[in-house]
Amino acid sequence: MLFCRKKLNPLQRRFATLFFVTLIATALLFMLEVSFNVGHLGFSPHTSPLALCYVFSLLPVIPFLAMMLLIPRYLRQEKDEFVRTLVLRALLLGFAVPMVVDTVVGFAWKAAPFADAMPMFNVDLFCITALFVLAFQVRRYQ
Amino acid sequence: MKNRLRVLRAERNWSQADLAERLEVSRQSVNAIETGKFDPSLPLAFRIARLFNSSIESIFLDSDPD
Repeated sequence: MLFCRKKLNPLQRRFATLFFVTLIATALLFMLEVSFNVGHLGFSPHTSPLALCYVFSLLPVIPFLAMMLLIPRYLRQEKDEFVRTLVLRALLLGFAVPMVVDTVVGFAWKAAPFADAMPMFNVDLFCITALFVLAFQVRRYQ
Repeated sequence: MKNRLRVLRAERNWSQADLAERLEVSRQSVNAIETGKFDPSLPLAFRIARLFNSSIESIFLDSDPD
């Protein structure tokens, strides 16, 4: 199976490791963001200088940019065209799901009090969806 | 697209893993091609044809000849 480390080739193993590192970095930065927003870091967005708010809002971009560099590099190096197709399909659905969720929640902003916070979960939702779709596809073609 | 990959592989007593190793692809790729769920690219089709000493059209059958 693709997620069994024994069956991964070195390229796939390296990609999977780096993907998980960026995923963990995203989760850690997400927790840092939430702590900042609720004031657990000793200062809050309401009392902090605007520049600090910008810095904190730009932080989650770093792992996402890393992921955007990582994915095309892996796809360029992956020789197995079928695996490439599976990864591309998974990424496509990974992008589609957050877009659909954002659109639906965006239209329901009056009824959904959590609508403002939804974009914060986009990267996490993208990664989790892509991983699940990839796992499902690999299982399907066993 | 239908193909004779499973037959050709069976004639040589190769497992899907054996064929995958010879083609330098994953076993899932071989399975997907054999079951017609995935059509290989032209370079991979040529590699398969070379491996079985056959032509592409004798391995891959056009289901819509028109």
